[in-house]
Amino acid sequence: MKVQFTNPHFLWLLPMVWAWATWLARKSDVQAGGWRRATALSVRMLVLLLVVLALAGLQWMRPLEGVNVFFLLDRSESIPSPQQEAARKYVNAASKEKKKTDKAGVLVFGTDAAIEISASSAVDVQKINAVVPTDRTDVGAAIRLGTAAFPETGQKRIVLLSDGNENFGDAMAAVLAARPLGVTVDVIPLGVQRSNDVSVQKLALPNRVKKGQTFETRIFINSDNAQRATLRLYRNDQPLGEQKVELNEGKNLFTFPQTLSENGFYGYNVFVDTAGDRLPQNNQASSFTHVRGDPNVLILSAEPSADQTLAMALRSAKLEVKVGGIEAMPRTLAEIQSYDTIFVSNIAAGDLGEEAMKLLESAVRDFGVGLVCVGGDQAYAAGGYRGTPLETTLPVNMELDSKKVLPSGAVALVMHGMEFMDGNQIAIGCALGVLDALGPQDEMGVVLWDGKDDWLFPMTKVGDKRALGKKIAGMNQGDLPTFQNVMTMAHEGLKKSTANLKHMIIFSDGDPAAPSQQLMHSIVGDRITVSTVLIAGHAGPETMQWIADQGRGRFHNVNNPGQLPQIFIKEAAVILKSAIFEEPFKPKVTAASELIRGIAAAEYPNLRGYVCTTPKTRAEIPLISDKGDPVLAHWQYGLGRAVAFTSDAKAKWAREWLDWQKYRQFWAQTAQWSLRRLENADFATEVSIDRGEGHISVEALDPGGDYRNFLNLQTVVVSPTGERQTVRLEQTGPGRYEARFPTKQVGSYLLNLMEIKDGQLAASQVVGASVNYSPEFSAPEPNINFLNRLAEAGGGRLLDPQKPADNPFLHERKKTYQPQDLWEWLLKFAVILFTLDIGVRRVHIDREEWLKATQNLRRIIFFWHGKPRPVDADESLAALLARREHVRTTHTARPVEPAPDLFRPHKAASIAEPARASVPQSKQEQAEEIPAADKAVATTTGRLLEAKRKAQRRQE
Amino acid sequence: MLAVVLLSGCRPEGDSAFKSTLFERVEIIGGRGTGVGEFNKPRSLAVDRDDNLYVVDMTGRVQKFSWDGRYLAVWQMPQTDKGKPKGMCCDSEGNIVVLEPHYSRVNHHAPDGRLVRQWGTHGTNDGQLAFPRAVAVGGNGVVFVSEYGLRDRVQMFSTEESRWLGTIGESGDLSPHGKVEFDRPEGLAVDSQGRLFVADSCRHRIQIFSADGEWLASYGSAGVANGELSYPYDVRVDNQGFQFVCEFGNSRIQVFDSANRPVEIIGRAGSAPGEFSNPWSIALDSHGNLYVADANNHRVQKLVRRKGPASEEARTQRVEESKPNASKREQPSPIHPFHRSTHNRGELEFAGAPRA
Repeated sequence: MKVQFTNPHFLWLLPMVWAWATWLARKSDVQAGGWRRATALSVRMLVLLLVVLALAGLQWMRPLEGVNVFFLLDRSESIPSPQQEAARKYVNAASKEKKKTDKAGVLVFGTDAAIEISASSAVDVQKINAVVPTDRTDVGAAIRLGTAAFPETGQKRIVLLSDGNENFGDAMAAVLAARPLGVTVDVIPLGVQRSNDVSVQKLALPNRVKKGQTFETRIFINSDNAQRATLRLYRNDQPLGEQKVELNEGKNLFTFPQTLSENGFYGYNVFVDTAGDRLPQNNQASSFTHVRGDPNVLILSAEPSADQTLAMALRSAKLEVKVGGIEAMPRTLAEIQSYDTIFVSNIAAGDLGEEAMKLLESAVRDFGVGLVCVGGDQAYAAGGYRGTPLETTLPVNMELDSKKVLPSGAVALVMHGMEFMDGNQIAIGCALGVLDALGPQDEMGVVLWDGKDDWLFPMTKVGDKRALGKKIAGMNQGDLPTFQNVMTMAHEGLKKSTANLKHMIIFSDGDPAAPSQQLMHSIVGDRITVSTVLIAGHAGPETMQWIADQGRGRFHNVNNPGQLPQIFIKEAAVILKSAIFEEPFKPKVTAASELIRGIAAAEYPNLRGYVCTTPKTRAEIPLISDKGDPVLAHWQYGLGRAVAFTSDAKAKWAREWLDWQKYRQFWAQTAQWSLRRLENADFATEVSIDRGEGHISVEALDPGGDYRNFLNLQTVVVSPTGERQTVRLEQTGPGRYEARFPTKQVGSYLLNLMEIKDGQLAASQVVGASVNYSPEFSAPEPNINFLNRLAEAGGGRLLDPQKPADNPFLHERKKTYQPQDLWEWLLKFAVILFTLDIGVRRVHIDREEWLKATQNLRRIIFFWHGKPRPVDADESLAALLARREHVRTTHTARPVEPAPDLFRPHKAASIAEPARASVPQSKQEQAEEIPAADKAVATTTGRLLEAKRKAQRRQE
Repeated sequence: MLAVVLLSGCRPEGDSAFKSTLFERVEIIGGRGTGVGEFNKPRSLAVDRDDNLYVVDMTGRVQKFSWDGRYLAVWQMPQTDKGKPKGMCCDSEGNIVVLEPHYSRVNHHAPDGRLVRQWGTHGTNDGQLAFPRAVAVGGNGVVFVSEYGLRDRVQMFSTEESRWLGTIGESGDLSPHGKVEFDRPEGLAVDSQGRLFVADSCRHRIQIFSADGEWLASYGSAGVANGELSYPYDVRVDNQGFQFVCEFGNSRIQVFDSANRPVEIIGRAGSAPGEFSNPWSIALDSHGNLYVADANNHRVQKLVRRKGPASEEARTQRVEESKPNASKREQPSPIHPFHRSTHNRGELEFAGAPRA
């Protein structure tokens, strides 16, 4: 039997307690025979042994059969599809050989890992359903997940099917962490040897160039063979030209001189084409640069032509201005860098989109770009800014003062269960987006199928968003059979609402049955609009289109789930027009500000409307409306400055302002104040990206050419998807600072390098680099050495799928053990033995009693009672008395004759007891004649009788 | 080798909540998961001639089980990006018919999963399919296919060449796509007399048609009481004339006798054995055992039929409170349901007679 201890150090107690017990036994003065003393000591030592074993955590290792094998399938882009399919088939083939007690599980991995099938007795993988991002290989994540997913008992074996080209995470660390948990790692190499590959390593451009300056675009190309190739260069997606080149084996460098005469952002792409290249994904690279001149301003407007007056005003202040619609919004953070301030004029959050709003927030906060938000009927609360990154960036809140009585809106959501990946989760995100966009006076309700047509919550005022948010987060909507019932419920709910604007949004994949024409008529008759959002539509868009047509709403056919939140916010904004005040008013000056310097309070012409907002605590509010709401507000947000003007700058609300002579001054001062502070850091900075990791190195020299040491340098790194992290640079040499950062995504990484002095920003510099293609396409061959090392460290080996003996269910099977705690039993046994210990010491049992006891025991155990004989009480008493007489005659002196006078007093007591006085003398004498023992019986019996009589009397 | 892969089989469940005069106990097949013998929202069932059970779920797999719930085989439907397969039955040749609604296809698979035949083209014209949802094969070999969405109708096709024979259901004015007869016919069944039963789910009723598509009767209305239905998604009829209606909305099975009178209600919403959560489909085997695709509980429940005269008892234990439906049952169809545009009446007799 195999055992183990959880706290073996407690075993040291054993000699001590045994010595103590021996000493105590020797010292003891208990009068007992030698064998009893020895037995007692043995039992006591046994008790102590059991207690010590219990303290030491004795465990029995129960032997178990069975191997648990987790197959880790590499689905990253470096594994060709046929090999991925072969790996799937291998899992099925290997699993057929397993024993009944064995279990198999399947896990797939790329950038992340996901369990395809948890460990189970039967595995037959027909298709891999789990979806994981494939542009990275994180073997470590897969090993960690596999280790965690093993059943508690049984041998644990991981079979890794991969090419070993890890480009994220640390697989070796994961293996070393898994080994102590009893996990072994076997490896089956996948992947192919690539030959004749050409790849673009890098396109190098200076970060910033001056207008008219000539610079070089440097292209680094790696080629397996010497061959001919064609290079194509693009600038801002426009072809610059192509050139035939001769590639040498190994690294090649090509340079092209460039000159840029206009300010702005310039993105460059290079492609190399060769014949017979089987991996075209790595044949491209991109980079960017900026040309700086006068400050650049971008005006994004819902109506660009109406904002031309504003643009002219800004141009008059020597600003370079570009006016455009929503399509002019830069798509990347790198592109935004060419602007110093961005005006957003009356654009709804739903039109702008979550991504663009995040870009704007990051540009202001992390890169110091200015933001000026100009109002209108589609801006601020009326444009669904509530809860968006734009609201976070602006100096005003969309939440309105509760004292203000505003007309409200009501929106009912009809939610259908989604069959696509994470569909229901995305739906929850959309519903939460709508909730965020609504004001406290608005109403919201959600109706869905949860086994029956039901309200998640009926039409409710959006006061406590947390409570409603919790309900939405727990929403588990099912597959709606028909729209009829849920829309009837939503209609009834909206009908009862007293809101001024009522809207219904239907979210579905389009397969529930359509509602009736009558229902649609009555919904429209009650002035309720209905919009429909079709996602992953399977049954055709006709039903949803028809509902939106009938409901006088909009129909959205969405293919990309990422667009959904935007659409929902846009739809929610239908009922958000209540925050608009359209009455002429004269703005009041409340505080002096750089923005309104030189403009007297009396000079401001009337404005004809604005959107109601609430100022944030740190915001400065130079202008307010007649009702006290902010008209102009500004603040510092991160590194940048943001301004909110809640009225507009065009003919609708600012008609009187257009003719105002200080219109230009007002807007020029606003733009000037918001401009990005110019970058002033003079560092030689290099950013490179290699195998999934970015590297920034900075050389800092002062104007005299000496090294600048002990600087506090940090950089904000913003990924292509807007994720942000701050990295501190460490000094690695005189005037040299370095840092590394992970680059998980393909695209441009932008870094704002900052020098901090006394807690303040002293200087900054924007730099960037691009991840041109997934590192999956960088490695030319499987990394067999790495796989070997993993197998070695993991206590396994490289398996050959062709060899039956290498089947992971068959080779090196080991019996495993499951520890079972014994301390409870040990303590119970110790308690029993302890009583035995006391018994041995304190209870003396002679031979006769022992025999009697054993005889009784036999009777009990064997149910043998002998011949029953009625016991005669008199006979027993007679036998007892006879025995007494016999003992007396043999062991004692001759019995003394009773002497009646022996205890009689010579004189009567002087004070007689009253009770005794009443007792007649004759009776007393009679009593005295009773022998002592009998007297005692008589008195006891008498007392009992007396007590009985008393009790009877009491009852009477 | 395959024996190693065999799974646990049926688990008999002694649950006191399960009460039925027709069925003595319930057995559970499978559980939630994507592994062998596990289900992710099973939506359709079929039983073949050997009483093997076929289950299709949201992973797009068709899994085959023996009569005692042992896993036997699996095949994966190749295309599931647009949507998952739904709608199954056993055809007159013993093949398993699997519908792919989103691809407007009808697949005939041999019991080992081999694709024997595939037909169906997308469209709303006669003979074309738009979102087919249920399939049943009549004794005479006629294949009935129900659709909803663009057209809510039941079409009839010949077995041999899948030739269009006729359509039940007609466009009308009551709703955009014409739902005079049907509103999402999710389930179909053919009884031993060749009559067609249609689970008209969003009208909460069962409609009965003759073998040639003549409307005979309909019963049921929305509700939870005896005789009332909530989204009946499937229907089956046994040899004794009992009609088993799978109520998606009420999460139960309701049994009607051959005169369309309610006999008993089996199960309720829940997850215990004998309870259901939005059951989607049912199937009967040759012994009268009823399989239920308990979709949201991700399992199949097998209701094991009582042996002996219990079924006869059940026939007499009809629930009397079903009178409100009587008047509806006898109402004739408002419009002649059988729509034939190109064929004359003589061609309706398609009892296996080959056509020229």
